[in-house]
Amino acid sequence: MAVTTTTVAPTAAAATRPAWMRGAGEGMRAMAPVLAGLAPFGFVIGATVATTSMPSLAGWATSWLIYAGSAQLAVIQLIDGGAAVLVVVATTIALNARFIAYGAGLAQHWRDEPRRWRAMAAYLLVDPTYVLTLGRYARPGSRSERRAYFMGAALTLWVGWQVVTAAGVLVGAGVPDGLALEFAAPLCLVGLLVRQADAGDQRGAAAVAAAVSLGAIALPLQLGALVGALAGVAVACTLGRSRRNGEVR
Amino acid sequence: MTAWLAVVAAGISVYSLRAVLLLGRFRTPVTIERALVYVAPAALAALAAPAVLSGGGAAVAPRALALAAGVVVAHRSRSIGATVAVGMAVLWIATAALP
Repeated sequence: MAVTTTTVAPTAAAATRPAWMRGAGEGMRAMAPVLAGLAPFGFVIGATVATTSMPSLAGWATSWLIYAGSAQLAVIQLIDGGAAVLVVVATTIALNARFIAYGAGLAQHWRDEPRRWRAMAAYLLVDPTYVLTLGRYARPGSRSERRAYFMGAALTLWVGWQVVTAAGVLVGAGVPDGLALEFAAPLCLVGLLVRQADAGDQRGAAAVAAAVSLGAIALPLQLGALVGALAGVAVACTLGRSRRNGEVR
Repeated sequence: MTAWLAVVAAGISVYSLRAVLLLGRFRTPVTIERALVYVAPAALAALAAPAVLSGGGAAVAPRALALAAGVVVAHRSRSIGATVAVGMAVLWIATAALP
């Protein structure tokens, strides 16, 4: 009993604020520079809506209904190109299949959290949030502190994202056509791609996908992108498998 | 109406991807886990590349130049903002300079 009092007392004395408040503040401060870096991307997504035939509100709603930058851009472009709903869904899944792995990575830390909390956390899970949160779980801290860190970081990004995409929708409509603003969207995708593909085989997958999607550009319903992506994954997996077999022998 | 339907359907599918291992008790097979590494880069490339050929505004050569410049800047800076800024600048200059 005496031991518990002595271990708790210094912590309580050192921090005037409760643990969750410290955690949340730390998460918000960690996410702020990330949000600043992603703000142009969010703005371009909003501005892209303005260059397409898509209703502005539906375009902005991707920010809270989908909440994943590359998928939002893809959905906006595909809908504008007249893609079938099934193609939109399949491309969205292909773009964000990595979220399955993110869920797996955090599930081990969140096993004891209430189901409702995990359902909410799943909605907020995106790349920077995952990376920061996993880093926070690698450092010491109480359960409530780390949980609050996630919420602080995740909500900062979520709120900021809604604001910058809305600003893009509102301001983007006023940009003259001659500036070819719609080209900013593929440039954003390139920026995201290079940041995510560090390994040579990932870049190989990207190169194959780019070539095939260009060759398949005439396919209806914007199927070319989906065919290209599948080709890139198939080639990379096949090459990876033969390389692993080679190592074994 | 179709736009809203597609957005909602895409939203439900993305949420399912996030939630499947956080709320369910499944394990992903190793083969799928290996493939997941390639899926995002391949999908991003397949979406970006056709922009060289399709869409109004600039001609093919300036688009190709701008996208190539974007790849180089993204590689060097790892910043989306810098990639977009340089890529758009190259697009405008090339459009004005090329016949």
